[in-house]
Amino acid sequence: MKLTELFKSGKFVITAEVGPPKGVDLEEMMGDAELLRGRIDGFNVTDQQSSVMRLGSLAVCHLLKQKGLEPVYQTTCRDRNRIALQSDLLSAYVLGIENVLCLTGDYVSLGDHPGAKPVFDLDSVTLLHAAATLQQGRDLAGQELKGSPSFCLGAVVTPGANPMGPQIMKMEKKVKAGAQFFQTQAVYEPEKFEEFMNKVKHLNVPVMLGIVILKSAGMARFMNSNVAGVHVPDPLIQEMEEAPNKPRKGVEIAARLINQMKDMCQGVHIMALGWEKRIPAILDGAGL
Amino acid sequence: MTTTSYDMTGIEKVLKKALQNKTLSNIFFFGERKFKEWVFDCQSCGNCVLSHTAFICPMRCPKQQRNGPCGGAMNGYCEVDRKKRCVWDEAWESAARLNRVESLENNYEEALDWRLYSTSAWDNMLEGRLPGPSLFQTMFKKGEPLLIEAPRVTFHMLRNAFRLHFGPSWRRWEGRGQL
Repeated sequence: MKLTELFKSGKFVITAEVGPPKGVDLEEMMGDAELLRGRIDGFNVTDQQSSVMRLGSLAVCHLLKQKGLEPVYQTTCRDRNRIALQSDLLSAYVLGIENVLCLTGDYVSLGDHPGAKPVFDLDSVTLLHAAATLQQGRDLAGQELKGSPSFCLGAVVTPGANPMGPQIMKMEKKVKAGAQFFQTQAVYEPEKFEEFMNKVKHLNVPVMLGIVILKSAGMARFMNSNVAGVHVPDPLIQEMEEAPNKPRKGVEIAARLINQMKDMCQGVHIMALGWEKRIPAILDGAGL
Repeated sequence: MTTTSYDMTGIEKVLKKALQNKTLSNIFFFGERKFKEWVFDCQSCGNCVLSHTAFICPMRCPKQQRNGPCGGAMNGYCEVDRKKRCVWDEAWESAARLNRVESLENNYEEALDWRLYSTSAWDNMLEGRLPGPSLFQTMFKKGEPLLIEAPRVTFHMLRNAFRLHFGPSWRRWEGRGQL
């Protein structure tokens, strides 16, 4: 089921992130995914998130599809050249994956193999273009394909980027290259999000709000200094500090943010970072 | 037989004829390399798009992004090395100063042809390996009076070169990634 069909029908689309393990023991991950069956529309499977070597996104997406859960295959440009990226897109299609999120990827120095060779043969715009070209029956070299795939293509944008101009410029290029929906980086300030959505209204493309569950005040401060484009305002940090029960507070804040911003966008993407078991509570709190 | 895929100006035609002389072409391409490395921190990708990016080389970016910034720029600084400017934020500022924001926004850069890596971009242009129009033709923005555009472009090129050599920069020998 392509997410674009859900957007067209007017549904508020909900996706959550599922992180493959560093290893081959899938019990916990599959258990978390099972908890969310029926509550969310798509499972984003990250591709070596933060450049940390993990089980591959393609394999996990296939396993989720076999269980009847809808995957969103995240693919980055960090580790593979254009030959491998196009091949993986074709592989994804034959394994039943229809939703693809095209990202540039974090640099290798951010992860646990900092000496690895970074590839970045394509970037997110050219990767979207490659996926769109494959759908038309040709590859990037112009050769004809024996059977062409069909995808719902997505990309990412950071509403909190400073300066904003270059991000919007790249978003426009992504839409022209074939992006059909966007997921955003975590947003904690409704006014800034509204400003951003007004600036990109002319692109007429569904945008899914990104939510990261706050686990503690320390985590909020860490994100403020170390994660690009994410800013947790002081009142929220204060709330986390004063809360006696941190997990419950984090869930409450996430639900509140969704409530405040759900009318400005067409969906929500929840990044639980290990707290997938708390997502049903957030959805309950947000009335979804 | 050589072909070109764009309409050359008179000067370029003369240059191409002159460069058939081996000695002249050696001197010319040596000069090109030194000039571009010194002024732009050219990374010799062989597929120059400097006139699209307001003369900031996008290959200096650790991720070699040719179509715009990644999501990792923090207040204008790069997530890979926090002391160094995001190359695309520099390009954005440079485009605002040189009145070329549309060229930044409207140019879709194809995936790089890595066979051209470490070759002369000017040679590739004259021999038709790259689509036109050439950098020579787009160096000064059309529609702007030359008397204003030429000094402005020269000034900003020198200004960017100055900033390259003083202060943290993505110059080749300064490395990428956190060591």
